[in-house]
Amino acid sequence: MLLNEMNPSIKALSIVVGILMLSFFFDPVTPLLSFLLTIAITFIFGKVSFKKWIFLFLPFLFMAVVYVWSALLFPRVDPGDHILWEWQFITVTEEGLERSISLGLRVLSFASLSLLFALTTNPIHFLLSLMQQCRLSPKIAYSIMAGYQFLPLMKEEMEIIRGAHRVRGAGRSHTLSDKIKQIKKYAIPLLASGIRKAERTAIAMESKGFTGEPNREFYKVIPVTKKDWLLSCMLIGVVILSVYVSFKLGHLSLYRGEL
Amino acid sequence: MKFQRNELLLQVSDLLFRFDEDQEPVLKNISFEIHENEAILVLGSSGSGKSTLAYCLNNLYPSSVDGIQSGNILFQGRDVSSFQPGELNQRIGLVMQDPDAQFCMLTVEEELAFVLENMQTPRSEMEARIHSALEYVDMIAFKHRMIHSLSGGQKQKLAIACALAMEPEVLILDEPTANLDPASGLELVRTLKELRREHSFSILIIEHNLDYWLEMVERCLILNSEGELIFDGPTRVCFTEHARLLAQEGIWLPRAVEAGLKLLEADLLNTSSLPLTIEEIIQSSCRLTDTIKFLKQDRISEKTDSPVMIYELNKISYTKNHQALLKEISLSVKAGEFLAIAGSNGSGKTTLSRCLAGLLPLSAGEIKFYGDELEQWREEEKWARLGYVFQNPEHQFVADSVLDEINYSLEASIHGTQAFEINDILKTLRMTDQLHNHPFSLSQGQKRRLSVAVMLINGQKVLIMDEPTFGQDALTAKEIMEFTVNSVPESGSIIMITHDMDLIDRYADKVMVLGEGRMLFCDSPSKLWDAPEILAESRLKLPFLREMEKMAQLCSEGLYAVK
Repeated sequence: MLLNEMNPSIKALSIVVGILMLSFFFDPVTPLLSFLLTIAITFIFGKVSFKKWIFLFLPFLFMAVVYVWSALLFPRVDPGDHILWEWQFITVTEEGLERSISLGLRVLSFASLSLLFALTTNPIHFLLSLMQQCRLSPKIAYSIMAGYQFLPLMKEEMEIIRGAHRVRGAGRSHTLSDKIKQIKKYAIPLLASGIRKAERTAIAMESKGFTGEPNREFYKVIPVTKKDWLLSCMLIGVVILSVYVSFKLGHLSLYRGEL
Repeated sequence: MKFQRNELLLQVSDLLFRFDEDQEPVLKNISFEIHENEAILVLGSSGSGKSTLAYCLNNLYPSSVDGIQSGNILFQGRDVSSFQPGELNQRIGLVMQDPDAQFCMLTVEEELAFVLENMQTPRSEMEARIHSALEYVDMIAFKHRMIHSLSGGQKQKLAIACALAMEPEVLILDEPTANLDPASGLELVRTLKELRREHSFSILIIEHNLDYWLEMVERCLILNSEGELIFDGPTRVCFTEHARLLAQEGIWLPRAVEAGLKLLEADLLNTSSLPLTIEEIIQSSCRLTDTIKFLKQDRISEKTDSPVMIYELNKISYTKNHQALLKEISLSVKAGEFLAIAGSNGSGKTTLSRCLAGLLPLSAGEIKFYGDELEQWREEEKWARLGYVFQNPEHQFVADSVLDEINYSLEASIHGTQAFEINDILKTLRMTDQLHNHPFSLSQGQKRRLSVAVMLINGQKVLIMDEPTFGQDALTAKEIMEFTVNSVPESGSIIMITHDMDLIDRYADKVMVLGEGRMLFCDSPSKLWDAPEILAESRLKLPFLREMEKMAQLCSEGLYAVK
């Protein structure tokens, strides 16, 4: 619950700091620990649906596995490396294995931190907070909001167009070039109405007295409280703790351009 | 009140506006004044520059489109371009036509807050003002709803609430009732009247549905198709003396005036001036029964019973995101029948029509189309018999020119297409000179006609239409209806969604009323007009002729005293 209510700007800042700190180190233990701790925090302090989390996490997992594989298959073998296993052109060294696992875990730890932010933050609140705490220009912020509001409309319109074309018997594309033509046929009405809508929305915003004036009175205030700083300390603390434990276990090593 | 000239608010002199140096002006020679607490109606056919005028008054044009403007627009004696950005927009409120492109926030509450924030309203007052703005339009229950999930009518109400929240001195409404069901339209007019009594502001209305506004407006402006102001004067003079001119321009007339014109021509009225209201028709009719009989001639007579069943619906339901949009609807449509689907905003009319076309999967129940289950039909064979015209004709165009568009449909059919000659089709469409133009570049009415024509070109017999006359001017609407009725074969059927009760009265053999996804009524229109409780529940109202009949009856019984 706490994470969902946390000030979005401070949350974003803490996560960026956390990721930057993690990127200084290159060993398997640091990212593994912070990855596990971040997941724990996500589900203990945030209201996140596990299904959604897994769904968004899977692509990252896939990416990590691909990294590990490619690092294993095409390793850099330095003289003096300990060879674990050798078969034809594949040589797995201890150092290589450690490097590739570090890399995979690094991807996962970054992903878990980003997901923590994405799944506990309301985008509108994030923009409001950026305006209120980070002096983001309302002109930019409200344009993004207006665009964001278009997404469900575009989806709806796409469905309508698809239906409309089905009625015309336009689903008869079998070859690739037909399919490309099909996309063009969807795209033109979508673009035409998109451009027209954007123009009208801009006029509508102006007609509602929007000027982009930076000193706005906000209906919804996104405050910064002690709790936000506490949570921020916790998020950064996760990384520090991982680094400390890894150091104590003797694994910690700085990133020295290994890849 | 009428003779007392209030303080001058807006003064327009010699306004000329064009979008581009080498283009014809959209507006020219426009001079008029708006005084405090006035209500003015702006009339003009599609494309006569009414909306452009509204944007100019608000100083949104020329700055936001790089248009070229000459002449002066003064607000309280000051040139509109000399105001601080945002200041004028707040004092001249504007509600735009397209309900989908008015908002920039996600929820109803946020959108209203956006308006108040723009005005630098103190935070402590915002909550109360959001509440009262929603109360004006009866939308409090929707405060936390996502805007994209609202129906068109609800969006329109929200847009009006946003404009009212600014407490403007002049309110400009661009077709405010186009998306509303009849009762909501009437309610809106009442609300505005009430608000004007309390807060006193001027109001400028651009509108097709004139009947709503007649009791409120005092003055009319008429723009002709060239964008010139050709009339500026009292409402009564506008309609009684210039009705023919308006009709020629394709502008909608109040229904009593329209009926009056016909009656006058048939020499059934005992005065030479046109009536503005039903009461006046009754008053000036020589013989009421003749009058009503004459007006009823227009009605398309009911067709003979045919044994062929086109549609049989058996308890169909449709659920989306755990929300039941259609609940257990059973219905049958016979060949030759014209079925109208009516109902309040958001009652599921469009959803039902999409289910009928097999575009949405049913959650329960079954639809039989020509005796076989709709889902079992092969796509090509289904579309050879069934056409569906979407609300926005642009969605249906797939080719780059009118000719290709027609050819596309011909090729799409599995049967031979030689039955139709392209030339014949174009002649009926009256588009022979537009052959190579892009469908998107056609006028509103042409787009509509083309979208209907491509649906019927392969001899389709059943046509489903989603509000085909929505937002069209009088000429275009008439064209579309005539074109459709003439093009669909006798053995076929038209199923049409509409808010227009007069259309239902005139064309429909059967009317189905939906309310919150349930079928409230399904029978002949004349039975619907005798069921006031259903009309009230589904937010519909009587068509003009029935209203007149009812009043005439009351009159003859001496229950209703005509002044």
